Amino acid sequence: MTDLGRVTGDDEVLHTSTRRRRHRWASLGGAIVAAHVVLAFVAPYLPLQDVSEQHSDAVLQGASSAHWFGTDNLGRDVFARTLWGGRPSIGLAAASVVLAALLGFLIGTFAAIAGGGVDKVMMRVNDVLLAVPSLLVLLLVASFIGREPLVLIVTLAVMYAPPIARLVRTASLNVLTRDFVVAARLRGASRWELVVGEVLPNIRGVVLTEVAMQFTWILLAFSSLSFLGLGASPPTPEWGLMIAESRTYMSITAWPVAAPVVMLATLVLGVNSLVDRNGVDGAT
Amino acid sequence: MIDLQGFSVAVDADPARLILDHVDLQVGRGARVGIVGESGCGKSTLLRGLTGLPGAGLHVADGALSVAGYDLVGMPAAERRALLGKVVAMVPQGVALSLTPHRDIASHFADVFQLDDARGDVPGRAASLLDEVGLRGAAMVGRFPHELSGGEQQRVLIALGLARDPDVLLLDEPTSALDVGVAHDILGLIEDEHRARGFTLVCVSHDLGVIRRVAEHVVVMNAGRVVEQGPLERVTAHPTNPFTVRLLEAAPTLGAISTAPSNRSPLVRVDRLTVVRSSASSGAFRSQTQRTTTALDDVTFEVRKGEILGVIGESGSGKSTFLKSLCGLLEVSSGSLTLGDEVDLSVRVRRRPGSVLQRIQMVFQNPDDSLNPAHTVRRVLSAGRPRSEVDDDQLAELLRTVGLQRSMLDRRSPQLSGGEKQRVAIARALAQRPELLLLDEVTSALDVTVQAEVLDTLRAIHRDLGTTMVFVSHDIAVVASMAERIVVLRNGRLVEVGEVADVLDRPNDHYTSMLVELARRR
Repeated sequence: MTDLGRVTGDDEVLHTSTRRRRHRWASLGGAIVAAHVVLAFVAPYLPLQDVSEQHSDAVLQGASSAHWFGTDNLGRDVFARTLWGGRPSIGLAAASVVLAALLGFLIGTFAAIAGGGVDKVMMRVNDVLLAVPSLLVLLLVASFIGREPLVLIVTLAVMYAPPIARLVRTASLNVLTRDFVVAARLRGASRWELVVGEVLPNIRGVVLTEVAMQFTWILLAFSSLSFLGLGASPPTPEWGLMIAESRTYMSITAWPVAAPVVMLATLVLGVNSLVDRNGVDGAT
Repeated sequence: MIDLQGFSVAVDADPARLILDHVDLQVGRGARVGIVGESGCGKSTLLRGLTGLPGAGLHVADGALSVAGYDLVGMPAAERRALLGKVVAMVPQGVALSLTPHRDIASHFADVFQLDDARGDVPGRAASLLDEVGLRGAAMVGRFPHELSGGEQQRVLIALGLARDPDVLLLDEPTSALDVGVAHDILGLIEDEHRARGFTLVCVSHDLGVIRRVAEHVVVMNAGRVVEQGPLERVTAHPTNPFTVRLLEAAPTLGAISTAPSNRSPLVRVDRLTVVRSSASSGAFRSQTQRTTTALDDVTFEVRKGEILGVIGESGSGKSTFLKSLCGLLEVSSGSLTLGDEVDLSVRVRRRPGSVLQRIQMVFQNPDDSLNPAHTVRRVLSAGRPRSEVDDDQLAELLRTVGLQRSMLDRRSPQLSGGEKQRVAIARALAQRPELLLLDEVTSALDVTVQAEVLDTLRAIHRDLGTTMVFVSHDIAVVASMAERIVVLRNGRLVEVGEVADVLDRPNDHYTSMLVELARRR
């Protein structure tokens, strides 16, 4: 094939402009996510007002130079609470999604390689888990077992692993039929070598995309749990909890609700547009 | 009928890059033109350009195009839409991709008829067109694309192209995905239609044999330019451009044949080998249903030590099944398969000890599929060995054997051309120092000049290392140029086995003689 031919393959030409646009989106998303993570990390070191100090003389105030995002119903500084409020959600969601990804990868590849009856049983169990509303399970676990972070992390991981497992299985099956896998089998590669050496590098892109999507779902699930009073407990600043505490006062000042909502929304949007790039570039 | 002056097509994203570089072409009414060249030379773009639509991401940068007096490039899209299929009709490449899978054949015709605002009796008109291209039209209109064979799909595509009785019919690689026999019939159909309807025919192919059949005027393209054009006889007999010469020389023909040294000892004994393949379909709540096909049926022959054995047959003949059984990828149903004197090859790949695995290696058909795109060439070649045992000098030596530079080591397969990929795949197989190298249609996805180079490399390896090879191909000319002995398979049965010269000169079976006959005509 000549050079000319290689650079003018239809696929490449077709997507040049789309790809460039998506790369722009992805960099914007990356910047948003990075800003969130940095803020969550450095919040304790910033010269912010105390997150739990109450000012009974200044409740439900609007934005001012003293309180940039105003104050809530107990007179606490909303700006400080908003910056702190990402720490429990992001940390917990990140821990859960790492665990979920690990579970999903192990289950998915095992099912793909084992095939036959093992695969069938594993996938039906997977389907059952997919069919159970995760928030319901979370509520039950939080009510009866406890709301310690470790319990929530494990529960969230188990509930959000099935979609990852299913995707990993499908993607792996696709790769496993390809000739380079046969070549590896002919040289005597073990199953583990096939999975880690041949399959994993080729499904990384699409699986990472799915994992990032699951991160946003876990983030929202945990915030919902806090909103329902079963996640973070007062007076911890946490976005879902802040929304729950302040929504009755929304007619007086919207800041205590709007600020955490905007933070949650931008983080989810940021993650979504960041992973858009993976959709374009695939594994490479 | 067609008048191209300085016709140039450029990439939208990079207007300086020309896919077609000032192409001049004049074609008279009713003429038959063949455009030939290698992949990426711009021949398909030229064909699409004749419709005024060069393709996604491309635009006409310069020059004038006139087809039957119409300026298809300059006119508004709606006007052009009304003329497509009538002035100029395209029969696209890629049989499997050119019909919509969920729609029946009649509805494909309805789309075309609708352009004339005279819908009328769609199934009836479709059926008569299908009859014309040699299908039983009435039975065909209600069927879906997946129910048709490749040859039938190609006929449907030709009928669709003829539906509005075009002045110019464009054919893009009309036979590239078809078995030789089917391809032969399709080319015959194209000739008949041209005679009956008198349209102007423009056919693109990488295969000179196809061009020889359908064209009287040849256009040779390379890197976006027309390097030579003229009457078929003149260009093929007295080419003036060096690229044309190279193209003609590289095309496999039934020529020099090597003879096998006699009394070699057998390396692999195939004794009454039968392989039944089952395609199991099952659901969670249904019991398993199995469809079985006998892919290899009571086949007996041997592969001799140090020879190149050619295996030839069309799709479904069992040639891939044979290779897969040798590798232990398929279950042997009955009969035996022995390597050397002792090793039983009916053992599946998982159960084979490393020492047996290493003795048999395979190179695959599709270059894009045979290398892991995530791995560097270095990793591909050193796979399965501890890092401490592998050094770059060793790998570079291996690359040299297959005609590649050391600098390739850091590349990944997306950065390699088709020919380079196949060479790396050959090197990967050689890295295991196999006794038996299985080659499954290794050149069928490559351009003819690249194919010739890869075949030379394989011959050199055979000469220098003495590796026994089983060379599988559908192309008898390629097999004959490589092999010393030949096995012909058809529908899972052994049709013929013997020295290449004997099989070619005195075929025992009418199927073999047809293959030889078609290859001689090229």
